[in-house]
Amino acid sequence: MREIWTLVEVSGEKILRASQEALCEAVRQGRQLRVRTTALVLGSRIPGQILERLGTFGPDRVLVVDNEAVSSFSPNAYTDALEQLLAAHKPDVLLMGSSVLSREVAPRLACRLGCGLVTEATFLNPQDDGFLVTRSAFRPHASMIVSFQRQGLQIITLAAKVMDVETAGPFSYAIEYVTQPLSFTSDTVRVEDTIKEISAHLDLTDAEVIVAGGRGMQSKDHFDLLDELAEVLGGAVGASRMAVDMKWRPKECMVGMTGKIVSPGLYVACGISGAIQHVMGMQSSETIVAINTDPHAPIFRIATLGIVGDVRDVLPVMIESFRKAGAEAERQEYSA
Amino acid sequence: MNETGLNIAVLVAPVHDCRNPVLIDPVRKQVDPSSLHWILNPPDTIALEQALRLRDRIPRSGVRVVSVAPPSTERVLRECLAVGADELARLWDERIEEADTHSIAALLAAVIRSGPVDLVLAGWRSADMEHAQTGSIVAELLGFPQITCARSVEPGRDPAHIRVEKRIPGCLLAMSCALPALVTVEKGPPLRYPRYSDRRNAWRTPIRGLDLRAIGLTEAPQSRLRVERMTPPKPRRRSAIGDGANMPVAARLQRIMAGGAQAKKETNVHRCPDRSSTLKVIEHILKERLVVLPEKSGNGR
Ligand SMILES: Cc1cc2nc3c(=O)[nH]c(=O)nc-3n(C[C@H](O)[C@H](O)[C@H](O)COP(=O)(O)OP(=O)(O)OC[C@H]3O[C@@H](n4cnc5c(N)ncnc54)[C@H](O)[C@@H]3O)c2cc1C
Repeated sequence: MREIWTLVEVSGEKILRASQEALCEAVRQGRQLRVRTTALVLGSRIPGQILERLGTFGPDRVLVVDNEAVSSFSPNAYTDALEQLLAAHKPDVLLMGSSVLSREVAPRLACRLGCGLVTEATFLNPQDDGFLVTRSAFRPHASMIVSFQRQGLQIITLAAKVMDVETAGPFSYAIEYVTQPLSFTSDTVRVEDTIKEISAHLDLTDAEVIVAGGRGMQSKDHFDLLDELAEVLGGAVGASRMAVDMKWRPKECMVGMTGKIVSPGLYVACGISGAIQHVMGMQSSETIVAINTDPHAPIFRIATLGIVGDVRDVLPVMIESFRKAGAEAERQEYSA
Repeated sequence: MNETGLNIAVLVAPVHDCRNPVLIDPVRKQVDPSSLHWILNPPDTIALEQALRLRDRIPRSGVRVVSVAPPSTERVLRECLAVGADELARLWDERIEEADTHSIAALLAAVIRSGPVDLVLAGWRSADMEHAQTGSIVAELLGFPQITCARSVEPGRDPAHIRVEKRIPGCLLAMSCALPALVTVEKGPPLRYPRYSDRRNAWRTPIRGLDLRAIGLTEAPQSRLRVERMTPPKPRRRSAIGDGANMPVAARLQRIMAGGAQAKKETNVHRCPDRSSTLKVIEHILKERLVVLPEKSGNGR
C-alpha cells in the first residue's frame, strides 16, 4: 500500500461528521502503515479555514477540486470527477463516510473503475495490498469479514459513529489544488425544488435521536421540556399512547404497536412505564435511556441506562448540560 | 415514454427476516442456509407498490418483477404476482451461488435488457446485508440516469419524464429525470394486501425461470469481493455505571445467579435520583457519541 485517500464532504462551513470519522481512521492507518494519506475535498470556493481544519486531522496532503460542477448536491458530477482523479492518481484505497452522497457515488464509481466496494465497514484490518474489512450482516445477528478479489483500488465506506474523531499532531500537510482538467457527462436528473425542513418536525422514523414522553410527564406543559431537549439534541419528539390519549401530543407522534415503529440511535423514554405495546415500537433502538420515578417500571428492563427520578428534575439538567456541551463543541469546531 | 404506457421493471430480492436469528456454521464459518427465514426485501416491496400505483395511473403500463434468487424462495416471490405484478422473471444458476453484489447487479441488468423497459424501480438496500449498491450499479450498467433513496415516484410533467421526491439532511428535494431511468426507493406507502382469490391465482401463474444460458452467458460475472467468514457479532455494549459497576466479580456473579432480569436491571439503573447520576448518564451519552452536537440542519449525517 502506498496511498490512502479519503473523500471529505463539506456543507457550507462544516465538515460532515461522517467524513471526519473516515479521515481520522485513514490517518491512524496511514501513520501505522507508513503510507501517505490524502484528504480530497470537492466544491467551489471552499473557505480556507475548512482546508486548514482538515489539515489538523493529520493527513499528509489536502487535495482540492475547485469546480462549479461539484458545488451542489450532484452525485453524477461527483462520480465523474472522482472517476478521472482516481484513474490519474491511482491511490490504493478510497475511504468515505456514510452519507446520502457517498451511498450513490461509491457504487457508481466502483462499477466504472472495475473495482470492489465494501459499504458500512466497522473495522479495517491492514494486509499487504489493502484492507480486510469487517461489517455487520443480518444485523444484529452476525458480522462478516470481506476480502477484495482484485488488484488495485479498494473503495470502502465506513459505518457512522464507529471511528473516533481526534486531531493528531504534529501537522505538516500540503494544500494542493487539482489542475487536471475534468470533464462532466450530461445528466437529465434535475432538482426542481428544495423544501427546507426543521428538525422539530422531523419524521419520527427518520430521527437518529428520539425523546419520548408518557403519562409520567403529567401535563401538556411539561412536554415543552421534551421539545426543548429534542431541539438541543437535533432529534424528534415521540409519545406513548397515554400521552396521545390525553391530547398532549398528536397521533403522529405515537410510538408502539398502534403507532410508529422506530429504531433511532438514542431513545430517551421519559415517564413511560414500558408497556409491551409501547416497547414493540422502540425496542430495537441502539441505546435506550429511561427516566422514571418507579424503580420497578418495566421500561428499566430494556433500558441501556436508567435514571430513577422525576422527569421534572432530570430533564432541565439534561437540557442545560447538553446545551453547554453543544456550545463547547461548536467552539472547538471553529477554534482550529 | 411511448404510446403504450410505461414498462416498469422492479428489482425484488428475497432476504432473511432479521427478526429471526441466523445460525453460523462454526466449521465453514458461513451462515447455515437452513436457518434463513425468507421474506420479500421490505424496501423492494415499497418500490413494487410505487410501480403498481404508477401502472394504475398510466394506462397500458406493465410491471415486471425481476429477481436473482434460488428456487427455494419462489414461494415468497409469488406474493409479487398476488398483489398484481404482470410478470415475474427469476434467474438462478448453481454457478452464481457465491456471487457478490456487483455480479448480481450485472445479472439483473442482463435480464432487464432482455425486454422493453422505461423505468426500473428497486429498494434502496437489502434489509439483511445492507450493501445499498445493487440499484446504482444496475443503472450504471444500463447507462440510465438514477435517483437514489426516493420518497415518492410520480408521473412527470410529460410522458418522457418522472418526478421523484428525495430527502437529504435538512431538505426535501423535488427532482425530475428523463426516462428511461432507475429510481431506488427508501420510504413510501406499504405494499397492498392481496385478496385471497388473487393469492390463489398467483399459485397457478407460471414464473419465468431463467438460467445463465437464457440471458446469453456461459459463466457467472466475476466477483470482486469474497466473504472470508461470518461470525456472531460482539455482544451489544451495555453500560454499567450503576451501583454494580465496581462490584467484585464474585459478588456480581452471585447477584446474577440470584435472579436474571432483576440483576441485569440493577447494573443499569441509577438509584439515587440526584443531579450527579443524571450527569453521569449525560457523560455516557456524550462519550459514546450517541448524539452529535451541535446538530443543525444542513450538517446532518
Ligand atoms: C391493543 C393495544 C394497542 C396499544 N398500542 C400502543 C402503542 O402503540 N403505543 C403505546 O405507547 N401504547 C399502546 N398501548 C397502551 C399501552 O398498553 C400502555 O397503556 C401505554 O403505553 C402506557 O403509557 P405510559 O407509559 O405513558 O403510561 P403509564 O403506563 O401510566 O406509565 C406512566 C409512567 O410514568 C411514571 N411517572 C409518573 N410520574 C413521573 C414523574 N414525575 N417522573 C418520571 N416518571 C413518572 C410512572 O412511574 C409510570 O411508570 C396499547 C394498548 C392496547 C390494548
